[in-house]
Amino acid sequence: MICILQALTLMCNTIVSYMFAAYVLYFLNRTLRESSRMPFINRAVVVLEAVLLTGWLIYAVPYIRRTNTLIRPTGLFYILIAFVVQVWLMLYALILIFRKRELLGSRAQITVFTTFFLTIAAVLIQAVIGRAPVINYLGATFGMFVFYFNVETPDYIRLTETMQELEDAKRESDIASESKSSFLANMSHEIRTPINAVLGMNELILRESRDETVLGYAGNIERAGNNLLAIINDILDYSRIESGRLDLNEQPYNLSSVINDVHSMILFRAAGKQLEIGIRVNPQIPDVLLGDEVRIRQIVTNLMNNAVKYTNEGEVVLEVGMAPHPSPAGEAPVQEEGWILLEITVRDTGIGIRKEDLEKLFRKFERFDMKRNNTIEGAGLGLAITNNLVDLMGGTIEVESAYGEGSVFTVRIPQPVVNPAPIGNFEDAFRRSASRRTDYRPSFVAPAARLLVVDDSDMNLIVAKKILEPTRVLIDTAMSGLKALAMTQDTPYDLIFLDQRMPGMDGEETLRYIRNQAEGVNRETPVICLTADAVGDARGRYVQKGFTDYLSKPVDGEAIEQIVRQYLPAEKISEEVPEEVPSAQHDTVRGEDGRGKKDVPKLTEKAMRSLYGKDSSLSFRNALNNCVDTETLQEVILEFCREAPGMIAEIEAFLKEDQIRDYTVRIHRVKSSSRTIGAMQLSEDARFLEECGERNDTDAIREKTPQLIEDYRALCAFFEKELKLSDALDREEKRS
Amino acid sequence: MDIWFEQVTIEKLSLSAAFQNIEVSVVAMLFNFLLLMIVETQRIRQRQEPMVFSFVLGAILFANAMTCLYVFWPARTSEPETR
Repeated sequence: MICILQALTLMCNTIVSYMFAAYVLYFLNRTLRESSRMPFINRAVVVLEAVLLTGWLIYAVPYIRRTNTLIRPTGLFYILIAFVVQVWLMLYALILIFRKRELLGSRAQITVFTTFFLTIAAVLIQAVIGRAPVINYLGATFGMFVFYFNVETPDYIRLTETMQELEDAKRESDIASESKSSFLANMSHEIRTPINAVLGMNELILRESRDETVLGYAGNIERAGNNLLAIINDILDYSRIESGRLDLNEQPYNLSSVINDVHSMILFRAAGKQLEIGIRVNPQIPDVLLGDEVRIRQIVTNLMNNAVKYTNEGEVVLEVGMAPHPSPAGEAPVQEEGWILLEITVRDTGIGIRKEDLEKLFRKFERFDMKRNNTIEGAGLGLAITNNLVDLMGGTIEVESAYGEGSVFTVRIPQPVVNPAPIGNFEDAFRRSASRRTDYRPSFVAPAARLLVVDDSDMNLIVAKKILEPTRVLIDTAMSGLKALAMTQDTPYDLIFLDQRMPGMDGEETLRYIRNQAEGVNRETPVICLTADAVGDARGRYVQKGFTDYLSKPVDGEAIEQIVRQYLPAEKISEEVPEEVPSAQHDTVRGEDGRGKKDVPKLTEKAMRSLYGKDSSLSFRNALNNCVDTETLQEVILEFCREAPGMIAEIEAFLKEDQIRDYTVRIHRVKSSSRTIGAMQLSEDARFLEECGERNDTDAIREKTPQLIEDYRALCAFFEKELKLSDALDREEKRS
Repeated sequence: MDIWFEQVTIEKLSLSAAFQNIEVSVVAMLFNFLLLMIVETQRIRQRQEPMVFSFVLGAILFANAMTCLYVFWPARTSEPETR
C-alpha cells in the first residue's frame, strides 16, 4: 500500500507541476493577449512519468508480495521519477515568465516571482530537512495566496479586461483615423489631377473666347477652381501632418526672403480690397536662420491670408521680431547666443473672434460665426495646419481678439542662428535689391575671352549664359562630357565651367580626359567645378580632385562674375564698361544645340511676383537671385517645363529597372533645376530622394517618388497655365 | 538491482509522531482549502466560468492530501516494521 501511495504522491507532484506550468501559460496568454499552446514535450513527459510509475508498481508489488520485503525506488531511477520531470515543468514555467517579463506590468512581475520564490524555497527546505515535517506544499499555497489577491481577484481581472477593451478601442480608432487620413490624401490627390485639367481647359476658353458672357462664366470657373485647389492642398497637408509623414527640412534660409515673398503674395491677395498692408521688421534680427523655410513661409502666409480674408477695411500688419528667450518662472529672461525666438505677429482690424470661439480656433474643419462669414471660402484647415506646424517646430501660437475690432496672432518659434549679421532696415534693403537689379552693370567686359559651360541641364546653361551676357564674353555650351571633349580638343578656351554630376561621364572623369587629351589645346585651361555640394570644405575637396576652383549651384550672379574675372587672362579684361551692353544673346553664345533666343512671354517683375505669390512653396526672391532678371527666369521656367516630361519618364524608367545610380543623377537634376526657379519644396523633396538614392534606400524611394512626380507635374501645369506657356511651347515644337 | 530500488526499514511511528510530521502540511491544506472556497465563492457570485486557477488549487490540495496520507500511512498500518 505504501508503495502505491508513494507512486500516487509522485504522480500528484508531477500533475501539480504540469498544472502550474499550464496556469502560467494561461496567465500570460490572458495578460498579453496571445494564444500560445502547451508544447507537446510537456504532455509527453507527464505521460512518461505515469508509464514509469506504473512500470515500477507492476514490478514492485509482486516483488514485495513474493519476498515480504519493502522496497522503494533509489538512485537514478528515483531522481528521474521524483525530480527531473517536475523540475523541467517548473523550469519551463519560469523561463516563460522570464522571457515575457518586459511585457508584464511590474505588479504581475512581482507577484509571479514571489510565488515562484515561495514554492521553490519550500521545496528546497523540504529537501534539506528530509521527510518530516512535510512543508513543500505550504510554500506553494502561500504563493497561490499572493497570486490570487494580486492578479486573480475579479476586480483586478475586470480592470485588466477594461484596459484591454480601451486599448482595442484606441487601436481601432487609430486605424480608422489613419484610414480616414489616407482616404483624404488619396481623394485629394485624385481630385487635384482632374481639377488641373479643368483649369487648363478653362484657360483655353479664357484665351480664345470673345463672348463676354462665356468669359464671365469661365472667370467664375477659374476662381472656384483655384479655391478648390487651395482647399485640396490644405487637406493634403493636414493629412500628411496627421499621419506623421510631414518632416521638417531644416536648412539655412534668409528670413528677409521669406518676408519678401509673403509681402508679394499678400499684395496680390489684398489687391481687390481697400486694405493697407504694413510690414515691420526688427532691424536687429539675424537674417540667416536654420529652419524649414517652406513651412515658415506657409505659417506666415496662412496667418496673413486669414487676416486679409476676415478684414474688410483698415489694415493688416505683419511684425517680425525676437521674443525674449523663455526662462524658468521667476528668473530673468536668458539671452543665449546661437538661437533666437522668432516672433511673428499678424494684426488686423477685421471682424475679430468671440471669446467663446477662441478655444475652437485651432480645431480642424472648424469655422464659426457662419452668419457673418458665409461668403468666405475655405475648409477651416489653415489655422489647424499652422498650429500643427508651429508645434512641430517646438513653437507656440497665441491669439488675442476683440470681437468687431480685430485680432492679433502671435507665433514664437525657436530658430538657430546661422549668421548673426542683422537683417537691417527691411524696406530699404527691399528697395535697394529691386534697384540693383534694374541698374545692374557688370564690373568688366571681356569680348576677346571665350569660355565653355558644360552642364546636362539646359536651364543651367541658360542661366549661366544670361548672367555672363553683359560681360560680352563669348560663351560655348555643351550638354555632356563627351560633347565637351569634342569641343575642347581643338577650340582653345580661357575658362571652362564643368558640372560635377552628369549622366554618363561625370565632371571628374571629363576633367581627367581634358587634362590628358593628346594635342589637346585645353590641358592647362582653368576648370571650375559646378556643384550643389557645399558641405564642409567643398573647395578643398574639388581642388584636390584636379579642379582649379569650385562654384556652388544654384549659381549666384556676383560669384560667377567674380570667378570669371579672377581666372580670365588679365589682358583680355577691360574695366571700361560701355553704357549699353549687348542684349542679343545670339551675338555672344554658341550652343551645341544651336538654339537661339526663345520665344517666351514677357511678364513684368510685378506680374511674376504676383504669380509666385499664388503658391507659398515658391520663392520669388530665390528665383530672381538665381536667374538675374524676370526675362531669364521665364526662359528658365520654359526650359523647366519642357524638360519635365522626359525627365519624369526617365525617373520612372530607372526606378522600374532598379537603376538607382541613374535615378539619383536625374533626381539631382530635378533638385537643382527646381531650386533655380525658386520651387523650394520640390527641391527639398528631391534632395531627400537624392539622399535616399545615395544610401540605396529603395523602400523610401518607392514610397516618395510618386508624390514627387505628381508635385513636379503639378508645378509645370501651374507654370504653363500661369505663364500661358502652352502657345510658346507649341511654337517651339513646330519650329524644332 | 541496486540502481532501481533499495530495501527499506519503515519505522513504526506513533499516531502523535505521525501527526507532528504532517501538521504543517495539514495547515497548508487548510489554507489551500480556504483559498479554494474564496475563489469558488467569488466565481459563483460573479457567475464566471470555472477558472484555471481553481484547478491549480485543486491539484495542489489533492497532492498535499496524498503526501499526508503517504507520510501518515505507516503509523496506522499494523504491518510489521520490516518485511
